[in-house]
Amino acid sequence: MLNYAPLDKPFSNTNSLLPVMDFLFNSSNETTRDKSELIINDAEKTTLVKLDNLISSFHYEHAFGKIFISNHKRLTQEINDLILAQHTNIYSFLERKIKSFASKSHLQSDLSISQEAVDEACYFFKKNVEFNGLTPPKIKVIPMDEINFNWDNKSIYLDLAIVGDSTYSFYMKDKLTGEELCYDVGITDRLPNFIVKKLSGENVWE
Amino acid sequence: MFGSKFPKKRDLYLGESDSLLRLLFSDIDYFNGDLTDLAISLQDLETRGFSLDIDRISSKKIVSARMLAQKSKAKKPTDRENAYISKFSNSSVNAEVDLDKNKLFSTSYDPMNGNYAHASLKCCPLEQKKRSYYIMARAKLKEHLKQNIVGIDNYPFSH
Repeated sequence: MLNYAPLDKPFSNTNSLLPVMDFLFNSSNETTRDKSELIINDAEKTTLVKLDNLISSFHYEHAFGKIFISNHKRLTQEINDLILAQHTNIYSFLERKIKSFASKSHLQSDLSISQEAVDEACYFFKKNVEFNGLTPPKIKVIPMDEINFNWDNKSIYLDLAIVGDSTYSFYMKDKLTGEELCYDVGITDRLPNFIVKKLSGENVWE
Repeated sequence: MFGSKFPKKRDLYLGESDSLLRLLFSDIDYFNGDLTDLAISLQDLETRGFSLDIDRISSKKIVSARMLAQKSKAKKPTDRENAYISKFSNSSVNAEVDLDKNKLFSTSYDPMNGNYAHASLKCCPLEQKKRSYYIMARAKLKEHLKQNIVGIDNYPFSH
């Protein structure tokens, strides 16, 4: 099953990257991605890539300034250039994705999400993720009207839920120290500084 | 129905040394070698109870029937294409504690009509638990669930 393939334009066309971006940051598609393959037509060859392999080798740095695809060096510079050209602000892209959760057609049929949850998720995203230039989280909708932000890397695990009740709730584990924390706070409250620091440094993806 | 393989009445209990089983499906619960967030419902942890089978008295016939019934409810063919069994220790999950070192989970023998091996897991009742508590519980339970996962066809059921 080729969800996003074949791409009908050369890879150098920035539009051809949109399906990849959409896939990467569209969490509601996450459960089907092992069936997804991507045909990349660049100037010299056509490459069939298991999309999951591509995603698993994706690392993105602070503010999306650079993208590294460790096992696909031929593509790295191209993708990096294209994203910088087309999506200089990844946060705008992600905010649009959150807003799209309000559309029923965007979700799995057994999930639903309230407009309040979408609005508050956008608010949280702008005031915390974008404002602080945090590494973009995985964002997805999960049952019981939850928009979930998840960061899981070598130094921190952060699982954060927004359901549209004017609060956000999270569980954090510092993987280096073993420190754990869970909080329920008002949606207008900012993430604690020490968490922001852990999610904004270049060491996040080391 | 179960013939000589039906466990004796004295064996129908949940003990500390028991192992617990959870039926998982790819892609909805288990994807690319890892559990998804859909695998553990916060509502199960809070009120309904997270359904499990007791390994010692579990029946392949019963679990397989449940697998087929749940497969038929899939919204998309890929949601529940393949079934897996996660096995974890009852004593280990009962040893989990919250951030204040209070016991986090409780498991109980909870036989249901048609499944004598059924057990339930919930968060221990505490006052004024908030959503973040259950998010923490979900993260901790996930660590147990992902320890030992095999395809259902390869799982050596007791009965």
